[in-house]
Amino acid sequence: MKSKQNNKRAQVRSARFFDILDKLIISGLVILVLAFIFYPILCVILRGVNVEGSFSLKVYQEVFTKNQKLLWNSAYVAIITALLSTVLAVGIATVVVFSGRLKGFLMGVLLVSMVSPPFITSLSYIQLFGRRGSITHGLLGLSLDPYGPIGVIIMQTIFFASLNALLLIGMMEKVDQNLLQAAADLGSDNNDTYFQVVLPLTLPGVIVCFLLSFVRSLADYGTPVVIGGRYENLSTEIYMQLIGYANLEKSAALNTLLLVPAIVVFILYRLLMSKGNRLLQGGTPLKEEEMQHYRPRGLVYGLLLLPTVIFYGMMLLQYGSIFVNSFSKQQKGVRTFSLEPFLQMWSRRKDTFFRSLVYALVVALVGTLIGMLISYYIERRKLKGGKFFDFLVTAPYMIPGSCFGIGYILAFNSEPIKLTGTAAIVILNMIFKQLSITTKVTSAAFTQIPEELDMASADLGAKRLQTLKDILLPNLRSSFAVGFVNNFTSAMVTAGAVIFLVNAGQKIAVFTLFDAINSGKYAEASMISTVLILVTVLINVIFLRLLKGKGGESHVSGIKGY
Amino acid sequence: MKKRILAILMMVTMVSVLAGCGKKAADDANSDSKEADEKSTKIEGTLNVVATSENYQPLFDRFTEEVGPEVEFISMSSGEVLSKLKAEGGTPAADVWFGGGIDAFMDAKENGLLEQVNFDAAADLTPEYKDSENYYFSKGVTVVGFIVNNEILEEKGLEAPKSWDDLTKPEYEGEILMSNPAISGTNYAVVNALLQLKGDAGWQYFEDLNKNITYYSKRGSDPSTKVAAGEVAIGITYIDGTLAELEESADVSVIYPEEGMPFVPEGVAAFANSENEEAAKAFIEWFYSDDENLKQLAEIDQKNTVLLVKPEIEGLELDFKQDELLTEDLSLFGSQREEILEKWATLMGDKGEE
Repeated sequence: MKSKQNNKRAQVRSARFFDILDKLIISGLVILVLAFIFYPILCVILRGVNVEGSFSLKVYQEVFTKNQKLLWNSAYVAIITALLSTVLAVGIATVVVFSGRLKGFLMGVLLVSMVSPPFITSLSYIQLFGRRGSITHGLLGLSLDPYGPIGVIIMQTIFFASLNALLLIGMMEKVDQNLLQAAADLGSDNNDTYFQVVLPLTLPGVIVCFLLSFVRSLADYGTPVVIGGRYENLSTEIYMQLIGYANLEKSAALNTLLLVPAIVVFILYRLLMSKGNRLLQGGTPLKEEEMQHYRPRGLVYGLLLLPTVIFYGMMLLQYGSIFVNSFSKQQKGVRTFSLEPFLQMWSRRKDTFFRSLVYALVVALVGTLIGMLISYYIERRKLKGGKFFDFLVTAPYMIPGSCFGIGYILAFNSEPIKLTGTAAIVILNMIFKQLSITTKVTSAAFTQIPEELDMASADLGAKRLQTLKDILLPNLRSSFAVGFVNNFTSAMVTAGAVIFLVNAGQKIAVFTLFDAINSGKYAEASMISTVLILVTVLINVIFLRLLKGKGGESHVSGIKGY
Repeated sequence: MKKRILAILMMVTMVSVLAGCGKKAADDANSDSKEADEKSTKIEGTLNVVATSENYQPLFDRFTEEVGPEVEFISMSSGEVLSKLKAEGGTPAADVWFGGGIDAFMDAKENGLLEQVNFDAAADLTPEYKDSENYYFSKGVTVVGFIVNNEILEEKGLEAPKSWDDLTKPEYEGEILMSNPAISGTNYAVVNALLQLKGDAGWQYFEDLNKNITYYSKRGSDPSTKVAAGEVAIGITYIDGTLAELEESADVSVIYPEEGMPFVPEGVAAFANSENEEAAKAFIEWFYSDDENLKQLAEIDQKNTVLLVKPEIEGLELDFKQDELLTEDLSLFGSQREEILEKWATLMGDKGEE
């Protein structure tokens, strides 16, 4: 009797504990997002109206009226890129999802292709297809000029296809098997089923891919800077204003201009994504082996297969050439095997890899946790202002990394929070830059878990956080996996803000990569890339294995194949 | 309840943001120079250096050995340094700026971002190559010339260009690569120096040259590396030790233009309000006070242009005759920068033209 009472008291105490914890977490998240996303971006925006110490809209006026040409250049390349990249991703996703036994391998390559160190991939593309490209010139005897908007479109299409395909695979896998069987029973052939069941159900995902690629293309300056030639757009202009003219005001205003399409896209995203998840809720996904029976056939499959094969071919060439470059040396135009790049890298840079690894692990664990918690409060607890909050979380993903970095310096260069010059500023920036991918994936997963579960748990007396811990978290393992992989990977290989935030004495590997490229040391840059790719893929695979080993099947966005 | 918490928190933050965000004007440097008795005693701490290359490690090691502070360094382009400094609002993360086009140093001084460093040996330095008020110094100059890919020239049946005027010949159409002068200090030197040389005809020259240029690259090393890779036949580039390496790896030659070489001094300065001000000043004084340091620098840079900054260093000789350099009024480099780049951008139509 007494022990029962004690037990009950303990329960009450623990319930109260969870209540307080709940409030603490909410306030903590709000403060974090306001401090590390809202505030820095606001500082950037305000910098544009602060002309020589006094308030003026001059810079904004000038930027908003004089850059139509750049805006148009950004827009048309972004639209074409988004379109092509999405179509390509549909092809890849379809081929992968219906591929049966090959799936593990195809997923593996896709996962590797997520790890795309900045600049070096564009450079390897020039090396393969440029005027003296080993394929265009060496094999075909052509002398093509790859510089210009077309080069940018091709490169971005390929870069963005990996993440798009992973997202689509996640959606296609969730198509209800009953629907496919019903279609077959009603005499529909595989192609009809594909067009009338599979594609319509994944359509919102397809549109989301389009919008995401559109925004990424707008914000990407690395690709146009390397292979844009005379092509200029808003993001290259921001780069020029920052790196060339050191004009913070103008680059701030340009950034604000770039946020306009981002806001439009975000609203569309919210609308479409909620619809898409409702369509797929509660279905029973098919087993891998059964999937093959529903593969599209004939010409349709051929049309989907062709771009996929080209994509995989490009990936092999690209990563192959980076690998070859990192173990070779050029002498009077002749390439020979050499360990020099490796030895140079090892003697001068091994500590930067170690530092990268530590940073990326922190970013992956902390960032994923924060991202998942945010999406829990937005999706499950329907916090007021949640949509605005969600927009804040998404915003850093949509602006060029260099500007988000400058925002951090503007925001945190003096007391009370002086972070400039510390490792923390680099890590925080990485965490909040990529937060939105984790929240998006987790939000999608939440809509798949019936809310009745929460209610049942509440009826049984559990506090909300207890429900989160005991009921929801076990169902979110795969979102955790996607968040971790994305955060870890981007922390390892994204250059954007790092250029401004990293200080002497805390160089990380991707900084040295940037450095090697800027001083024209391509062999060394290739070597650094190779090591970065290997380390990143290795850690991701180990992590996914560990997660899988803990029981339960991971099941979002195709990490399943691993 | 939570909703209200959220709303209140948002409001509080917004208000404090509006109050705090703007008021970070750069403090003016309070430069009461107190470098009296730091000679004999060793200095503690760390010196953070922004350098143009990682090769300076041995030089920094010697400083640590002789004076005390550990040196950590990082390489950044001048534009990055300036943007970062401006964003930091007077609380720089680094102490010393070692290398980079002098025009950026002039800009930085103008914006109050540099610290005055007075020391005896400063009197031995050529006045043209340092700031008259000792806000910045230089450690040599970057000279500019051409690099050509012999294979491609041969394939196209072209002679290698010998002079700046040659570059505008129609046969080189689409074969010349130059960096955007806003990004590249060396190519800015080309524009400024040739404008000084050619006077009123200067802009016409660049319009003619523009017809032959494929595009203006956004990284300073592109002209040389892309010529080596066979992407273009001719590059307008800085001439330094890395070009010798390129000559090893590919069939390229370096050309010194007949009219003379534009050049730009490479700056050295201490940042204003830096954390390790004492060490920063000590470094600059140490660096210029012993010729051994300058010799080591010459060895690392694989050039002896430090002789222009401090003539008569024993054992060093200039690799070119001084009259091979164009005559430049360096004082115009900083003051004309904005105007020249703006005009250049309009005339060369790089605002999104195909």
